[in-house]
Amino acid sequence: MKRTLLRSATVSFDAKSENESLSRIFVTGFVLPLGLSAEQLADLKTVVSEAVTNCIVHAYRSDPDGRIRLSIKYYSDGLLRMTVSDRGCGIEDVKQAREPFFTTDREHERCGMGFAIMETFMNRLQVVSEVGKGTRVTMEKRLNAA
Amino acid sequence: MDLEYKRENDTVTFFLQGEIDHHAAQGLRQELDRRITAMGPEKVVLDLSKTDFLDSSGLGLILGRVRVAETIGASLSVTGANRRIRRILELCGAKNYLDFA
Ligand SMILES: Nc1ncnc2c1ncn2[C@@H]1O[C@H](COP(=O)(O)OP(=O)(O)OP(=O)(O)O)[C@@H](O)[C@H]1O
Ligand SMILES: [Mg+2]
Repeated sequence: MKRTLLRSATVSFDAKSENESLSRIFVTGFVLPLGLSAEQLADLKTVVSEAVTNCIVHAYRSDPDGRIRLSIKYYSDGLLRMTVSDRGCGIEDVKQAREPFFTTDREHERCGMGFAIMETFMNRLQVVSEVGKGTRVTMEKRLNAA
Repeated sequence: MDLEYKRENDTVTFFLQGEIDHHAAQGLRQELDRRITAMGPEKVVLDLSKTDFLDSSGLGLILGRVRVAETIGASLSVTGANRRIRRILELCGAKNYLDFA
């Protein structure tokens, strides 16, 4: 069966911590017509929060002039794809960054679990990054699959 | 932000409400540390029964308070976490040093 795009939405907001909740509300609103379980919705909110927080604290190191883009697409076969991108500092070693408990920011009580949570809660996680250019995190979840 | 708490004998229980993300954690961290150090309890309990959301920043907040409690010789435990929050805490190995009363 051919996969067709049913619906998409994109928002762009500044890298302020107040906008973390905005990103979760945006996702919640997008998936509302899909009638997800409370569990599924909570997982989506969590992974978006992880990706957006990473942009704020790592990519832009709390510089509020940074911009974050969040895009959501829903396909005919039940696939939900969420992309979070920034034009911040980028990641030198993506493989290492994705390891559970790896963090470059112990001083702010980070435990290095953001990517591990995204990986566990979603079906697919892709991280594309270039130092000095930015990072794009793409997460996919098959909502129809049991 | 209003931080609700209850003090009984040597135990102080903090009720963390709403969504504990990086934004909320920034304010809560200072508020919790100020009260924990000022009250000097033997046991610190973080009650999550009114917490609707918690991500890795919330986890960092909890683990950071474990260390703060240790510096004043107190123990810390977490109670009331819903199934989804518990799943995150367990995934992150927090189960090892937290007591899910
Ligand atoms: N958007 C980003 N831009 C630049 N660096 C990033 C970005 N996202 C993640 N990183 C890097 O990858 C590391 C791992 O990220 P991850 O989210 O897994 O853990 P963390 O953010 O350090 O801790 P936690 O998510 O548990 O609070 C970060 O410490 C940071 O060095
Ligand atoms: Mg993170």
